[in-house]
Amino acid sequence: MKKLALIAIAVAGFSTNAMANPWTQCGIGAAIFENHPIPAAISNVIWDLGTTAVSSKISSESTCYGKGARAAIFINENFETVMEQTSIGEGEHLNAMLDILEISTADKTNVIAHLRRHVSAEMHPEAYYDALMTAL
Amino acid sequence: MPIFPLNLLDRVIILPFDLQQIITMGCKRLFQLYLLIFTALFSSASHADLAKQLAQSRTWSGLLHFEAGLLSSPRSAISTDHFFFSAQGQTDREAELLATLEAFTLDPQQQCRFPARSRYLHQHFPHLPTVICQEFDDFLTAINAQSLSLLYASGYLGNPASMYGHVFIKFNNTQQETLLDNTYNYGARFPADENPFVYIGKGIFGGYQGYFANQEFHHQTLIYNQTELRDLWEYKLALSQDQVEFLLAHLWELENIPMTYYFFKQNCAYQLAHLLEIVLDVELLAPGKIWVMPYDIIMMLERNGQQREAQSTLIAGVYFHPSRQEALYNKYAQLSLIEQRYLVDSLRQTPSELQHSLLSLPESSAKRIIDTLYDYFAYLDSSNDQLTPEHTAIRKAALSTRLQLPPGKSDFTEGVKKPPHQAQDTSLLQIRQHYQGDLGSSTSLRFRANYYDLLSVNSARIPFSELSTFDLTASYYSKSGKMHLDELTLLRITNLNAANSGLPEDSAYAWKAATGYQTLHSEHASNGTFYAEGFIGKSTAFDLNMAVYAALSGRITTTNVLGGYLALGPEVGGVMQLSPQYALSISAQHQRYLNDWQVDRTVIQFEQRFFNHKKFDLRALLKYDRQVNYSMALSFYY
Repeated sequence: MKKLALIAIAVAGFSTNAMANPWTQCGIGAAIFENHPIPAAISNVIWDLGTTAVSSKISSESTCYGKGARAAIFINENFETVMEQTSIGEGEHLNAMLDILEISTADKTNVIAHLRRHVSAEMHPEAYYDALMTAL
Repeated sequence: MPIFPLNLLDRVIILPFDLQQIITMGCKRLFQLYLLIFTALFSSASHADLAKQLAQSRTWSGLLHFEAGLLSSPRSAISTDHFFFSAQGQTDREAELLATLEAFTLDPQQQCRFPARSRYLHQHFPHLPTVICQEFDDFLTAINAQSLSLLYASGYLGNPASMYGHVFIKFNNTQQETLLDNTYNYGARFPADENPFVYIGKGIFGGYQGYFANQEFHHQTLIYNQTELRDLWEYKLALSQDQVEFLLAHLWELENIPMTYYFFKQNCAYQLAHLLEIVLDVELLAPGKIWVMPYDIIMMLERNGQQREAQSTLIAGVYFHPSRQEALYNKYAQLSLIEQRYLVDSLRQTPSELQHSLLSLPESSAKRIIDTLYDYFAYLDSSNDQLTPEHTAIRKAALSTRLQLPPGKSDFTEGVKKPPHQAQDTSLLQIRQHYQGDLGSSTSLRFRANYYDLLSVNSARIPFSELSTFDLTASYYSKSGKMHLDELTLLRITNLNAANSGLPEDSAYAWKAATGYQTLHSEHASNGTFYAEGFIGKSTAFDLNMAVYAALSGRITTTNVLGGYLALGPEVGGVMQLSPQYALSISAQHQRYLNDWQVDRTVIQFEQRFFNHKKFDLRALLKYDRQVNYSMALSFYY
């Protein structure tokens, strides 16, 4: 069932390294969202008494279920906030990203410290993801 | 007494489909087993009575989405065949309950399609076969919800369809960051390239099918907090773990099950109210209203909670998720004057100058300024659709600088905001005594379907704004002995957009738009006219309680009883909340008619609101429109 796609994302057991580049392997920004790139989906959110019908493909797409791909999607969608919180060194988006990757609380500090040393303001989401992968 | 109730016996013996299927399969033993189990289930008349009773219960009716019709008997809002086991399931709850029992007995795997029905029936029929539903169990494990929250998104005047707010639910998993919690949202599905007029028409008149769909919470914060700059209010409900799982079980049953969507009633608020009523056993739809609004669920949750014992209140906690605009205002207000000046100056610097100046500041000040800049640019990015190249460069410089500073949040405190349930209720009944020069005194009755005006006791609504729908005033004039429909405003929206930060580009147009029907009284006659009016201008707020505006106003009428059809002219005004108990608004407008430039009209209006209560207030109005008139009005809100 489609609803299980979300669960599959949550429970998929393969390692983050299995998804070396979700941008190319999963087509983030293209295939995953097909004709509904996120900005377009958001701009279509209008009937508010219920028709905030943003595509549920985000949860149900079957292309990439792994936690690495899920983290990549999260970064891609929330990149500016993730970058801000990386520069601050904490924040709920940063924490959510690390929770997706199942980073233990004890390891989070080290991962964030690594990220703060290796990311830059000029980075794009894909490069940020690569920096994150090297921190794990 | 028969062992089986007659209709059940009929069902067991006569149902041709099941029998044929069983006999065709050559499974006499299976049929015998079926009879044995059913006999066990209904081995007494009390069980049959129980089935009758359960069929009418709130829970069973809720699981089938039965609704009372205006002229017809109750029927399900769902017409999808595979949602029912009985051919009469859409109109006959008892038939569906018996058919469900039969299906769950004959083919226990059917319980995995309907885990909520299964849980409910198992409570009352413990001999029903049990079954392991691995997929559903995995689903529950993945959601891992310990509690449930109702989320209210504040109104958004940038889009007519979003003005009344929105609600959705969130299943809270304490084992992970709340942004990863699963939300369920009820919405209509429509083509991405739908014509706007078709879209509005179909949205209002039932041209779309609505579905529940799940998304992680960060999608909702991206839409509401970040993109539409709307605050989210989270009402954590006092539900047990079983109740939370029961709702998830029902949402599982509803996957891809459509219900017809109607903007004014069968909308997100309506469906969520019905969903929560299944476990809360209270009414969540406001009584006496033929429409349903998101705010009204919040109102009803609070009202029902107050009527209960204190220890069983329905709301376990209220949490605030501010928009980036609100976060900006909160942080900016906490900056020192020197820090505020630094921040504004930084917007004119080159990236290298900015980095240099920020690094020369004390670390805590530099962090506070940068973190405020983040909200500022996020706000501009949404309100202007994108950042300018200059702003993008400054933002990058701020990011680079923040990465060089030691990690750690700035020392801002969270803002204190009044939650939406403290606002005045949304529907108005008002009685007014009025005096108007040559017309003499009149007594008026006013009804406003919703929502609020510039003087309402507002919270969690856009500051200095008004949104009135279907506002009707009928008056009896004692001098003439006549009754008049004085006004029927279909829609009136005012948004002063009054910013108080003083930050560059934190400014938008003040505007108003209204349309409806009015009776215009001249020296000689009273004439009805349709009208459309509005203004556009600029405003400024001195603090959270006071704003003033100046604008160009216009008005079109279908009669020229006052001298013309199209009038234009300046308007100035303001709104002041001088204490929680007292607020006032004032406006002065001078217009000339384009078709007769010699004729003008001046309207000056001063209105006051007394008291600070959800349910009532007292209004006093003093108005000059060719002659002085004044009124006192007692308002009741529900």
